[in-house]
Amino acid sequence: MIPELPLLRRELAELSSRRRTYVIRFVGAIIVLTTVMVYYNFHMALLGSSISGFGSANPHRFLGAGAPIFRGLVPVLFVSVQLLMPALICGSITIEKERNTIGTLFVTRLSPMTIVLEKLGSRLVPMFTFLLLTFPVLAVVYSLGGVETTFLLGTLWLLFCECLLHASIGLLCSSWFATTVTAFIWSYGLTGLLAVFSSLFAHDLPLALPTPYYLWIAAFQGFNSSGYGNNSLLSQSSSGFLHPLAQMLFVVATTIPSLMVTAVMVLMARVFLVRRAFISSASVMLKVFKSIDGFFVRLNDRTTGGMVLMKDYTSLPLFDPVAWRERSKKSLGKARYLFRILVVMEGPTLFICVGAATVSARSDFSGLRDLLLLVWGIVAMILAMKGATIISTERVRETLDALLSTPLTAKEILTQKVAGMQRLMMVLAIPILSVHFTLLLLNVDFREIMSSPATILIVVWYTLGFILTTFLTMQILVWLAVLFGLRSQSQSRSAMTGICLIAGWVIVSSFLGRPGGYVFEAFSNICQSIQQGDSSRSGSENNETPTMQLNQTIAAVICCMIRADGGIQANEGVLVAVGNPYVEKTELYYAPSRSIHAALTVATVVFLWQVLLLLLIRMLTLRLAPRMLGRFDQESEYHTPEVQHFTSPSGTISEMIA
Amino acid sequence: MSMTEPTMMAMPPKPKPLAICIRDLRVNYGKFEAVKGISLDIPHGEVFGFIGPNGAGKSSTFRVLATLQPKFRGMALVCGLDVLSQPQQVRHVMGFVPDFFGVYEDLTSLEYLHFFAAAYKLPISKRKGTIDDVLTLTDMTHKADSPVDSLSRGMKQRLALARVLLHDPQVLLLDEPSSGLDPRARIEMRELLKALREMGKTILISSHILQELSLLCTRIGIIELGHIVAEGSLHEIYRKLQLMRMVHIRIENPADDLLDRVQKIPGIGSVETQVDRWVIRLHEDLMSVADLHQALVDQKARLTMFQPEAMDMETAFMKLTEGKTA
Repeated sequence: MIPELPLLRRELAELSSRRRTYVIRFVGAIIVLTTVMVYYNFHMALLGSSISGFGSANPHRFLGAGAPIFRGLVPVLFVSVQLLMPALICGSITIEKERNTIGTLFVTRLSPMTIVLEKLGSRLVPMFTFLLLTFPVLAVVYSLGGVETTFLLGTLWLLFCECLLHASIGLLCSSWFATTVTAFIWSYGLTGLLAVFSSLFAHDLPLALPTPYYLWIAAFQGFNSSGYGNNSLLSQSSSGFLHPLAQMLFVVATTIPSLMVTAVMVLMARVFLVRRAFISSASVMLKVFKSIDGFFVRLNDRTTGGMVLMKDYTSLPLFDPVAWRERSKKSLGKARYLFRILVVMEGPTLFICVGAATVSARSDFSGLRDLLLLVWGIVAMILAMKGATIISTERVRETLDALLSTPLTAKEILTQKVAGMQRLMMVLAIPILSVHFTLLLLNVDFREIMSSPATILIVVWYTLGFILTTFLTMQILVWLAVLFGLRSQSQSRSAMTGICLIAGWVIVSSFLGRPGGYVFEAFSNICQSIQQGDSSRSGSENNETPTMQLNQTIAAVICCMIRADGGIQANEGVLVAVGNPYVEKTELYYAPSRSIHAALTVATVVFLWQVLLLLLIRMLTLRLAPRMLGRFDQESEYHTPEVQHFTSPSGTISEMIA
Repeated sequence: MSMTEPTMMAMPPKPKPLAICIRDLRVNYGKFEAVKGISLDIPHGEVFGFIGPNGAGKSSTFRVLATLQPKFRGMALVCGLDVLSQPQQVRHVMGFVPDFFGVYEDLTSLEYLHFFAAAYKLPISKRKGTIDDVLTLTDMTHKADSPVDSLSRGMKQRLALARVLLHDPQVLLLDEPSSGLDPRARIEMRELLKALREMGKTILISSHILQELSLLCTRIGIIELGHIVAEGSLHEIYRKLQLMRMVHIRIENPADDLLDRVQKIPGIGSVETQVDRWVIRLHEDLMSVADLHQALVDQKARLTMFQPEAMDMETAFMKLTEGKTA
């Protein structure tokens, strides 16, 4: 007898009626198909070039080409699961809490476990349907040959386990937290943490890994069509002579830890579903900070008898009430809370910076650049989330109408809201600036600087540049997030829209505008053709002509203008050009030809472009704000109302009732 | 005396514009027409009750007047100021309490009022005095330092009223201020609104509690499906609908012939006998309540209770509306 599963039905019906479901599916399919096309073209071109001459037209030469394409495609599927699954599931339970419908669910005959499992199922089905979309592509790849059945089935099983693992993480977060936004952030945080730990132990302890993706890497990356490669887990564990069925069982056995972790997390989700069903949606961070405050106050009472050196000054708003509230009442606005965030972020950053400065012999800076990327990732996520929810929070808490019926214009409200975020931006900028400063110390020989006034100027330029571009980029991110979240009716939707669109811009623009990428390549080809023409005339291959330098500079400017972090990258080009001779020319960021003049030009043009971009985004946001907030504004005229004293003829309410 | 003085004295005083003037107001949400050509004139000092079922168009009308509805057709003036072309000025003369509203959970009542005082751009020197006054008027002084989140619903409603009084608006738009309140909080709210009426504020109020509106409003408008189906004072509406006043009486000597005699008194529609009382339906246009009392005494009825019911607004509402909702 098939159970009715009413919750699963309802959830699937809701998901099918959402436009977002189809948009995600469409975008996902485009990404997968593009990846397959890129790998297919690449390998076909490789095969075509390796076999030339007589017999090169024979189609049999493509047989066995499926394995490398398959190996390139599967990581995309794993990453898609890691990226999509938390977004799909994080709101499954929190949305019931936000709508106050969780109590209604509890009074039905559905048990908490059934609710959890049906919620899990309702999000796994769309994920599986998304993966099913790729099956025709996998079938084509399989038909090219080279993909063993064990390889295919093992991959499918591991993909299934990956879906379960990430779904259980999201489900646990959804049952623990009160709002979708918090669950969303923590789901991705835990997913990222798991990925970092898995990658750290990937080489040492593959069997104990809970992540199916790293199991797949360990088991199949070295697996080839002619047998078992030397570097695959299967070949190492079985001397390469296991029966396919045994191999499959072996793969299944390695996923037992992952499945156990999944089961534990689902059970925890069931427990927290009941225990934390009716928790307050007040800011978790504010609660944590307040409990820490309480601990320190008690400690102070015990040790010093409650001595206070600096008392909290509670002010009242004078001119900019919205900015005042953001600064003095929010968890991400109060100075003492921001100080704690600074310590949490700056401590590890400084530790790594000092480590890099101590260990590095001025030759390897990739670690610091990775750190910069990581810090920027965190900062961008915080700013995007905060900026995107700046209005939707008011809308959800039904405080927006009261604010909009005051004489404050939409422009004033938004500018004050963003002004309230300035402190947060300053705090978040400190770890970024620390990394830049370390990079400066490591790249530049200060003994040489003292003898060259020009180098001093460039160092000052770089220092000013990284400070300005950091704040400029932050402002762009914040105003973009505000723009994206202006119309949204829910916090979760605005946060997801802001984060996803900004992440999309960063990823796509970094991919397109990277050194050696498509955009850069187009200009490099032009340069190359010019170089060939010139070298044939001049007879030297290494000297770069002014035309070529100009083309490279234009290419660098265009790449940096496309990129979200273009200003920072262009400024790094200045540092690389002026400083470290150990950095390979191919690793130069946007310092064309190691020419300091070109690097300075790129940095200046990109900086001006970003200022213009910021002004444009800000102007567009403020122009659209009244309409998106649902009211109309005219130019503000300062009007001082006549204030009377309120004295009712009947006195206060108590007197009137008495 | 200057030459112009006689001329000035002869000129009639410039008429004060209406507090609210709406002409052929139409509000659409996509293809759905929520308000279909409402026209209203509300003079200064009036308390106008807006009654109608859910989805009738009350909140849409409120949002237009509160400058929060950018798309509408027709004309809406608040104190002679056009809502569409002079929204900033309108915000200075109007205070709006929406039907659903939240409060900033991270503020105390005092901080909340200071926040809105700054938003209304009140002069800093006068803020403290004004806030003290509105806190006293709304009886919130003892809750000034309490976090807003910890206040009861009734207290939050009073705080919302205190908020809209900060800039001393001439017109108050109160969208269901008593919904969800317990009986005591409702009575407190009613008394507060009466005090505001005494202060000369013009109030446009919507409510589902019809009894309450009948005690408070000088005029009412009944709205259904975006149309105003009746408008005027309560008496005008009752007269129009030929409604009768109910009077509850208890008699010490309820003899059978007394019932017959009472039923024959001109102006009495019917007499219903209940376990402990008689319920008389009275045509008020033919006989006043005081005359009825006298007539009963003349018929030798020994009255132990004489309780005229407030006009039966629920009947009026049910007669005028058909129960259709959007």
